[in-house]
Parts: sequence; structure tokens; C-alpha cells
Amino acid sequence: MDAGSEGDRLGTVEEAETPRSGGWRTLVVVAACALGTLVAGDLAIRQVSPLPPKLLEVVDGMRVLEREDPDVAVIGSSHTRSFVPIRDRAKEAGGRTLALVTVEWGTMGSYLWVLQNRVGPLLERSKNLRDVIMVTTFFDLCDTSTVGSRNNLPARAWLAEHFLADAALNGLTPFNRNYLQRRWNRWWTGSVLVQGRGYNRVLDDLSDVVKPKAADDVKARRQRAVSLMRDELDARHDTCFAKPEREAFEALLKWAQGLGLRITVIHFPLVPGAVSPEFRRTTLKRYSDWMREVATRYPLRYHEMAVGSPLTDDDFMNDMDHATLEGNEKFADWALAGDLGWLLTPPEGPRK
Amino acid sequence: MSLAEVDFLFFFPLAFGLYWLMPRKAAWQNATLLLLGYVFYYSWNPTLVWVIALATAVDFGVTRYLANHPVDGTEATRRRRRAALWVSVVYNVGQLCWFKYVGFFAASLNDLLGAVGLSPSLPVLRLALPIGLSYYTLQKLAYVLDVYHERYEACRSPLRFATFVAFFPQLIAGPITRGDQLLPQLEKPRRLDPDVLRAGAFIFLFGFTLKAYVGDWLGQNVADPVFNDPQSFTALGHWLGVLGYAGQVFGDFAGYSFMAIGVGRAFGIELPVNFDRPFVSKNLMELWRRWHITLNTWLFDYLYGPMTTSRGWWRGRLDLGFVVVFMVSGLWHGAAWGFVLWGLLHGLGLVVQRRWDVYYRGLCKQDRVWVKRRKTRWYATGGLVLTQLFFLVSLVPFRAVDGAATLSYLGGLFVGPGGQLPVVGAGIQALGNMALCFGFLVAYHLLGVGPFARWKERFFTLPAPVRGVAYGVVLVALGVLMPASSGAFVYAQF
Repeated sequence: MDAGSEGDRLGTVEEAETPRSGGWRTLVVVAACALGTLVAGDLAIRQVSPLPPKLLEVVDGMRVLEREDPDVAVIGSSHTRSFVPIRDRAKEAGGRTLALVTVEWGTMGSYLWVLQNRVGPLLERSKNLRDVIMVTTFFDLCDTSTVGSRNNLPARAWLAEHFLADAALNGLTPFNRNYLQRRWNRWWTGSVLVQGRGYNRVLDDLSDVVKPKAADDVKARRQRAVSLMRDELDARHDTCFAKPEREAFEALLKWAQGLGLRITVIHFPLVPGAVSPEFRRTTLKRYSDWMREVATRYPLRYHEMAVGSPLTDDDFMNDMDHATLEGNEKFADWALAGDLGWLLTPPEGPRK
Repeated sequence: MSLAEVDFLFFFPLAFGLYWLMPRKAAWQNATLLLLGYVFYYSWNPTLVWVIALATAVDFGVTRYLANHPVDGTEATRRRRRAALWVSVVYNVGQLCWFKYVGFFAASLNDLLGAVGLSPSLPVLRLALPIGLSYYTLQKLAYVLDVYHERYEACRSPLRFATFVAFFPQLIAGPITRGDQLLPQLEKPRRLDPDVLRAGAFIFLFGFTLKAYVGDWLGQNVADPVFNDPQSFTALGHWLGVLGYAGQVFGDFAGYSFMAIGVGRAFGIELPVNFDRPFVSKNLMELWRRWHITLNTWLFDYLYGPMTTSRGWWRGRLDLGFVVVFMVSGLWHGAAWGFVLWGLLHGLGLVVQRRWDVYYRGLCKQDRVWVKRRKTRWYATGGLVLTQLFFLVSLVPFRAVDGAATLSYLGGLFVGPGGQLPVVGAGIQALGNMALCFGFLVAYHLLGVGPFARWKERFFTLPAPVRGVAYGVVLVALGVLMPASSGAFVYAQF
């Protein structure tokens, strides 16, 4: 039997002695068994807590832009993913082809950065592209210091060169570290212990196995989430009309105007139970008024869908921000029957 | 970059591979370690790399000068040597004061003069603190003083000396290594030893668990909620908050020190122990021999000892020495009056303890029954409880944002203004996590004493596959339980 020596020097004075010999063989056996247990544990947990679904990211939209040269680019925050049924139906109907460029947790500044540094060259080269749809919410004008969305840019949109340039200038910062975190996560796409971290998901799922949540609990939890979202919306008036974000949006419009692109901006539906009269009268009104004012200066169509869509509270996920798959279908039915009906019409032909 | 953050997962394999691929010659290995140290340092603040480089050059120059002017009994040499020493002391302490304390003292002076009706306007500098400055400054100062007192020879190689200063595992948060501990190791080529590597991996995993799970969980879920909003919590909640903070600080700092030792071993370097089960201490002196050992031995060797054994006014003033040393320790931890108060409390605590010891020795001389009483379990338990209670209460000014918050929190320990308890009510998961975290701390302390120590020994005699599976289970548990934002390191700011 190989005597272990790992704990011989567990940092205590009286234990600071020379480790007993175990050699490479022991090291390899210990490491292999630890690794094997880790993998087995991960696989076992996956039976209870499945891997999260793969989400559309900036790079997926770029791939479509590159390969398919679509007619419409849809860019925006995570709500852009709700356009998947719209994209599919437009395609089935022989209408416009869409590329979905999702900048998770983005703001106007993030969209501008992505346009300038990632998708811009593809849009400039495109022969078919005539329209850009921006999927926004009032959050997109928030001061980034209060929503942390800027931090997501390195994770979702940066390349190694962007990271290296930033690290060379500023060292490793909480901001650019997000790039490394994302790279790390992408190396371990099959591991639920890596992918499930950050949302307490694995622990929640494991707890459910031991003690499943009662239906009442689930309902109460969703009601609490709606209430929390209402508080969040009501508290945002002071911070969600940031000048840098408005300037970024106007810079984005100028760039699109220069390319001869038409811009359609929508405010994605909010969970109805969270929208208070106060929020409508203040933050939402200011956002919509400003968009309409901007539309007088740029070739821009604005559709305010924040309230009035057929989506109900039940059509939103537990975060009370993103629509469920059924919610997305419902949204597609409604939007294509109304303001976005033009996506079902045949393409206008090459732009160039 | 710190040893607990995601960047280290990228850095370590590259550093490890590069280091062991180099020729097995001390110079090559040291050059690699130096490069890695500067990359590590650069990752914190690229614009301040010159600070460590210049400080290294100054102290290397001073110690070479001292080596070239050995003690020969003449007054001229003595003066030259003393002048060289002062160059180093003034440079190192000056640099520390400039970056860390100038703004604090200017602001304090402004406040003081403002309080007496004057309207001062001293500029308050807010400088970026070069990471690890407090640690490597003490390390270099100890080295210069040792060379000055000819305790060992000055290092001849600038490469080796620079590597000693910038050895990356200990760079940002210690352990504060002495010249005679690290320099001899850097003199010889190192070889990759599987047993040392295994011992290093174990202690790294142990430290990581302590830091990224125990410390971070207790900080985020127990200490922060209470300290951020004490008005909402009961008296028991206040006690839990400060207990959680003790766990957070210990987990954070001891965990990082263990990780540094583990990483050091991966590079064939043994770093000194920095924590040794402090929560079993039965008196304050023992506590400071077990908590941040390398800082406290530094303070006693290079400040308390010379001060109280000097020929001047300080000679024999042991009590005052305690107070001064711990106020310096408080200031070293941070430029804020809360830290100074914390240091003052511990200085006074040691004075009380010393006086008690003197008094008790008198009792023992009068009647031997007092000797027997001192050896009883009750006496030991009383000492343990008093010491730990004192330590916990002293953490309040260490953590609270200002004097008013300190007083309010201290009051809350007796009469809590609110009705809440931290974690309680957050569900079974949170309670389970809290029990696991505190359980881990208790187990670590118990496994070093008495019959429990044998359990630990028995574990390490288990077959290698069994131990490997046990480590795998710990890794899985960490993956499930570790808070998402683990990694930031509290003690780096000191």
C-alpha cells in the first residue's frame, strides 16, 4: 500500500516534515481517481439537472450573415432570441431571411461596439441586407454602472485580440476577466458543474429530487418574482436615460444611415404584472417619447410593444424578463399579424 | 490575477509547463519565476510595475553595499553601514507611506483641524495602491536588516534577489518570507518531485475550499447582510454576523496562504506556514502565534524585540511595546481608524494578559494549588472562550465602515434593534451550507488535536484510489456549492 503524503504538511507547524515517498505512480492513481470521480459525479448530476440549452450568441448571427447574406439583421439583447419563431415563419412563407445577433444583457453601447467591431464589416459587404431590427427595452438606455451590462461584452462578443489589447493596457480587470470566464465555460460545454454554476441551478434541481416543490410554492415564487420585477422597473427612472447610451444609439443610427439601411426599433413586451401606472407614466413614456423624437431625425420606425401585447405573466420564464417558448410563438403570431407583417413579404432584391 | 480566480486556471498550466521545460539550472528556473512574477504583477496594474522593480533595485544595491563594507570595528564603517540601512528603511517605509497613508493622514488632519474650527485644505491624495506592496516591503526590510546584522550573507545574484521579491504565489498576500527561507532554495536547481507535487495539490485544494467556499459563502450570506444592514437584525443575528465575518476573514486569508504554499510546491519551493488553527488559541499571545504567523513574527522580531531590548527609553517597556506593535499592525492592515482601533484593542489585550500572567505567577509562588488550577480543563476552556470572544468583538471595528457603525454594531451585540437572523428563513439549502461551512472550520481545528489527529493520519494511510475518490467528491461538492462570484480576495487590499 502506498502511504499518502498529501496532508503531511497541512500548513501546521508540527506537521512540517518531509513527505513519505509515494512516487509518480501514487500521484497518477490519486489524480486519475479524483478526475474519474469528478466526471462520474458530473454525469450523475446531469441525470437530475440537465445541461442548459445552447443559446444564440453574437457569433451565431455572424455565421448566418456570412453564409446566407440575409435581408434583415435583428440585433438586440437576449430578447432577440424571441425572434426565432418569427425568423422560421418568415422563411417558410417565402418572406425575408433574418440573422439574429444576440448581445446578451446588452445596452445601446454594446450594440454599437458589436456593430463597429464584429458584424459591421459583414453588413457593409452584404448585397441583400436592407433592414436592421433592433430589439430593445428601456434597460438599453441604463447607465452601465447600474446594470453591469457592459461587463457582458467581453464574455459574449470579444475575440482573443480584444482581450489581449485590453489586458495589455489595463491588466486583468473584473471587466476583461469575463472573456476568460466565458472561454473557460466554453471549453467545458458538456459539464453541468461548469455550465450550471452561477444560478444555483444544480443545487435547486438536486433539492427538488430530495423534496419536490409544491405547486403552491412554485406559484408563490413566480408571484414574488413578478413583484420583484415591478420594484426593479419602478426603481429605474433615475438611471435609465444615460447620455452615453443615447449617444451610442444615435451613432449607430448614423452608421446605418450611411449604409442606406432602414432601422426598425421595437420595445420588447414586459411582463404585464410588473408594469405599474407609475412606470408607464415615467420611464416607459420617456423612452417612447425619445424614440419618437429620434425617429423624426433618422429613417427609423419605432414600435412600442412594451405593453399591449397578448403575452400574459404566464408567458414569461421565472426571471420575469424573457418569454417562454410558447410565449415566443404567441409573440410571433401577434407581431407578424401587425407591425412586423412586412417580414412575411418577399425580399426586395439585392441592395447593391 | 489571484490564485483563486479564473485567470489562474489559464496562467498556471502555462507557467508550470514553461518552468519545468526549462533546463534544470537555478539561473534558468529563477529567470522563469521572475518573468512569471512580473506577468502576475503586471496583471494587477501595468502602470505600477516600476514600483516593485525600483524597490528591488534599491534594496539589492543597499545589501551589496553592506556586503562590501563588512563590520570591521571602525566608526567610519559603522556609520557607512548605518547610512546604507537608513537609505533602505526610508525608501521602503517612505514608499509604503506615500502610496498607502499620505491620503489617510492628510484627510485625518483636515478632519482634526476642522473640528477645532480651522478650515484646512490639505490635498488628499488618492493613489492606486501597488498590489502586494505591504507584503514585499516587509519581506525586503527583513532581508536588509538581517544582512545589516550579518545574520546571513547578502545575495550576490540580482536575478535571485529579484526572484525572491517577486515570487508570484506569495507576491500579493504573503506568506511574508525571510531571506534565509527562500534565497537558499533559489540557489539550487529544483527538481519535480511527485510527493511534493501531491502534497502541494492537496494543500491547494484544501486552501481553495477554505477560500472559495467557506470564506466566500460565509461572507456573502452571513457577514455582509448583517454588517450592511445591522438595524434589521437581532442580537443573536449580530453575533452570527461577526462569527461569519471571522469565518470569512480566516477562510479568505488562511485559504489563500495554503493555496500559495501549494502553488509554491508545484514549483519546488517551500513557503512558510501562515496559519495554524488559530481558533483553538487559549490566550492572545497564542492566537498571534497561530494567525498570520509570518506578519506577527516579523513584527516581534523586527519591531517589538529591537524596541524593548534597545538601550534607550523603550528598553523594558513591554506593555507599551505591545500597544505600539499592534497599532502598527492595525495600520499595516489598512489606512483607516477602524484598523488602528482594532490594533489598539489587541495591544491592550496583550497588556492585560501579561499583567495577569505576572499576577498569577505570584499566586503560584504563594500556593502550589494555583499551579494545579492552571492545568485544569476549566482554566483552558475559560482562556479559550475569553480569547475567542475578545477576537470576535475586536473584528467589529475591523469590518464596520466607521466609528458610528462600530458603536452601533457593538450595541447590537447586546440589544439587537431588528427582528431578523441571517440565513435563517432563506431555506434549508442556506442552513445546510452554513452548517457545512462552520463544520469545515471546526473539523480543520479539531483534526489537529488529540484523538482527532489520528483520524487524519489514518486517512492518509488509505489506499491511493480511495484518497483520489475522496478528493473527487470534494471537487464535485465545490462545483455544486461554491458561490458564483468566488475569487475576489479580501486580504489583497491590505
